[in-house]
Amino acid sequence: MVPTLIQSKDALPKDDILVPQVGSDEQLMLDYQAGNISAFDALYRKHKGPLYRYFVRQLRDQQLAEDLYQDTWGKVIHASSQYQVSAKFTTWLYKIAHNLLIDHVRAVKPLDKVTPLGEDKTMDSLQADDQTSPEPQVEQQQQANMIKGCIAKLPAVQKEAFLLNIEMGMTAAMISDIANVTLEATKSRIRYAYQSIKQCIANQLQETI
Amino acid sequence: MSQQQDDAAFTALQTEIKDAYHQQPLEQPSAELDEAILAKARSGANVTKATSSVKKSIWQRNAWVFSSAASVLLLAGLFILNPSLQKQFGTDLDQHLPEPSASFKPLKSKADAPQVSESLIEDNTAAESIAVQELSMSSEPMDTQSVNRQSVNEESSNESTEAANITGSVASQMADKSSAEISAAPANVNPQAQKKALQLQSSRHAKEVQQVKQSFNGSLKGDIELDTADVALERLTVLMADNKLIEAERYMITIDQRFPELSDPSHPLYEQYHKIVLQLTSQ
Repeated sequence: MVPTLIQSKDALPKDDILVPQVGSDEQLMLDYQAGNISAFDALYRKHKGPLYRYFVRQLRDQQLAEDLYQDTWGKVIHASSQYQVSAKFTTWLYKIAHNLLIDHVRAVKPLDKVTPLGEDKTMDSLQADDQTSPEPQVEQQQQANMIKGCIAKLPAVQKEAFLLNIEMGMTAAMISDIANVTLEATKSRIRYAYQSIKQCIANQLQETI
Repeated sequence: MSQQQDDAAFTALQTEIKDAYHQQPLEQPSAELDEAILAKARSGANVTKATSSVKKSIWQRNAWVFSSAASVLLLAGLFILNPSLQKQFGTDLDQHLPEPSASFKPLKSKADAPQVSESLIEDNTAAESIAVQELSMSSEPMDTQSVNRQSVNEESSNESTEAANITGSVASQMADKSSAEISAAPANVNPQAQKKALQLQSSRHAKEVQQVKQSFNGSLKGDIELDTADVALERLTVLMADNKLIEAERYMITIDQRFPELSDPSHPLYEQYHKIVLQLTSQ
């Protein structure tokens, strides 16, 4: 079977026609389209954690996060009959998730603007803070606990870019496609997000000392 | 140089935070949520299968073509099988077609009549001749009307010949009706009365036949007597004698149209008519 284009609301640009590899997300989706339930099972188990955290980390309301998570998979199931491969499955999946997030949350409460770092908060300064951290094992454990709190403090647009990058390893190009923003803006969001988290952790470590 | 350092530092930072992030316990959806979504996926797969099988139906894909073809076939079948529809359709067509040559002739003369009438308004005699021409050119029912008029005149003068006033087919119908009445009469009816009725009926027929013969021989007075070539020629001669040349010329045109046989040299009145024509055209 030669896959062609995705024909759905959340379809991606139709210029790249992909040939799915055996066992890839796209092939699993096509198998599910053909009626193979186990293919969807595999697809779901692979993506359920990151997608769930995508909503949970961005929304304070746990119930709303779960509803949107369920809605996202519902849209995937509904659109599976018209699914055609033109981009990565993950890009399509998170674009659906992003649109749902926009519809349900951002329409009600506008997102915070990107807050750029100050003049003195450069990568060098962050690196210097890192060098002054306590013992590695204790620091690692503390960092793991602190990261969660620091992510929650990120501006929404940075948080989304950060989560997509850290959970799925998405590039700035893919994230810009999902969030429908320019590549440069996405790169900035990712960079600021990481720097802010590092700063946040350093600040918390200093407070504990 | 500074840019490369920045990038390298950021990559290190990214790796460090990623490691820290993935070391922490990560949230997962509940088992109930998983089950609900997987159940939806299973039902969705069934629906997808069903819809895809329906979409491949040839009837659904070509519904337009099939319905159009069926409509055309139905209409064609109706026209072929129902003769009354064909007749109606043919009649409608005939109304838009030009008249056939047989019926076109009187229509043409009628269409010409207003023009002639306008030019003859000053002369009552010429107008009368046009009326005569129209009467003479009309078809068989018009002749019957003339006979009827004749019969009505006779009725006013003689009441005893009432039965003779009924003409043509009407008289025949009445005769048939009376015959039918007689035949349907009971057996105890007076035979003498029946005989009288039969005699009356036969006398009606005889009178009718006589009227028709008289009309054809031109012995009757009135409009019908002008409907012959010799009478028309006589009238033309009178007009010439009265020196009414304009009227005579118009009347000559009428005669040309009505009695074209007068232009035939073999016709007995040809010489007389030709002479008058020469007189008119030479002036």
